[in-house]
Amino acid sequence: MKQSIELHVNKCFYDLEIESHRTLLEVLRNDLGLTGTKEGCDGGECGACTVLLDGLPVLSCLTLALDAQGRHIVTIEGLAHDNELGPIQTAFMEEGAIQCGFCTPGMILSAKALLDRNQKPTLEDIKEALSGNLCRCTGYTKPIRALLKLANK
Amino acid sequence: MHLKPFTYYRPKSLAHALELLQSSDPKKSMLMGGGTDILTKMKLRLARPVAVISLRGLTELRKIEQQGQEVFIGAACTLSEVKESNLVQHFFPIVAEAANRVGSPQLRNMGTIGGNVCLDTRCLYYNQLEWPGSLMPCFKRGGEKCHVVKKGARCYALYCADIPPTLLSLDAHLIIAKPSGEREIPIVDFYQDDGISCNCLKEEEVLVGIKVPIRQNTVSSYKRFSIRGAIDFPFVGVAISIERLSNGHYGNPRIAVTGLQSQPLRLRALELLLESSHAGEKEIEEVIEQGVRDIRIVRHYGISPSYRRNVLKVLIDDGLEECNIKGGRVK
Repeated sequence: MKQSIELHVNKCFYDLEIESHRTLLEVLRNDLGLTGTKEGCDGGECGACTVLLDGLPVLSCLTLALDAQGRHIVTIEGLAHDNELGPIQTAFMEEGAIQCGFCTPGMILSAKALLDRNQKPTLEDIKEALSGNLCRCTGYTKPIRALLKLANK
Repeated sequence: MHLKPFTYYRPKSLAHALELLQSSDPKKSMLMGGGTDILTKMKLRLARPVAVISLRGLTELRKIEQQGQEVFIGAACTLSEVKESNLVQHFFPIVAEAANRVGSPQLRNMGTIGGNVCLDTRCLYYNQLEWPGSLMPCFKRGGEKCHVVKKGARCYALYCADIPPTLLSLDAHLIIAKPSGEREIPIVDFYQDDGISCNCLKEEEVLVGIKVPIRQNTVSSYKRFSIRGAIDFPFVGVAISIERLSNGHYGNPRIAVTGLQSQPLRLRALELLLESSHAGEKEIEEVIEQGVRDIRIVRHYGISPSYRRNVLKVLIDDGLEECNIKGGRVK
């Protein structure tokens, strides 16, 4: 049975009719067309589907869309403004912290959650914050370097 | 994988949740805390509930507060909330430490402490199998055999949650609500050594929270070992709580482990040996050796029982060292 819900994604409100068994990931990608959020393992391990719910990183593949009602959702699309990338995205580009790019949206959102709470994170803080985002190509050295550079600005 | 359709309820009060559990068929409805365990199970088609009842809207299950000489931790508090709670950090640092070691930051922002306490057992042939059809169903899947212990007459799935050993070592109690009222049981009586159903929570019951007694002069530690920190469950985890006595000695050691059997275990034999030993550092190693000798450990995930036992000994040794126990005295 479909239910009417209102989702608050990247400062926009969306009225939707969805079934209770649909995950936030499916709704973001298929109903809202926000395909920056990736589907990786679909089982809570890889972190590719990370979004921010009220500022905290969560896995959208294991979140029911109904549970995201009334909460502020930020996806990777919400970080750029007026065709200008956000500071973390720019830092990742400058350091070459991207290879295939599949883990990047999740990794950047985990990093954003960290920097929003702690503007001067240590190396350990950064490693801990990124521990739930698996990268299988470029590794973690460059993302960590990008974030350390941002933290020391 | 897509989830199969179900009816979703998000009750606002515990009474309403219990009512919903009673009115729907309890065998076909499931309680959901953070969803990290049950949604994964539903995606693997290991669970097919008709109704899912979320506990996240229940404010009485989302508080952490001091009640006299105890601290109440609501079952629906996320692991991040538990980790960041000043009360938990101050009185029970090992619970905060264990909460911080569960999964990744994302999972800790979602998963609840009640979910961790009620976590199902895990097995390579049950909830980590991509192609279940390729094997005969095991006991946990409703079949007649165990793939881990080939001639075994029961299910040997492992209990691997991080929080319960710390609660066992702190003598915590669980508050469980049922339609006719509440009951409070020591956490040690909550678990049973059965891979299919490792705890005694009945279908019509809801875990409300955990009461942990505050003890002064207690030193504690939690050590765990897993292959990959943010993804894997521990294949051994050890929680130790020991009281400092006024004469410089220690007393009442309580040691609990996870990841060895189908339930978290108190190592009573080792506790008794430690209590009665007041010897030098070298002998502590012998005491540990003797204390863990009789624990039954089976091969899981390709890790041999002897390696697992060795890791257990090292973790106990590290934990005692962190508690500053040396030669029968607290340093």
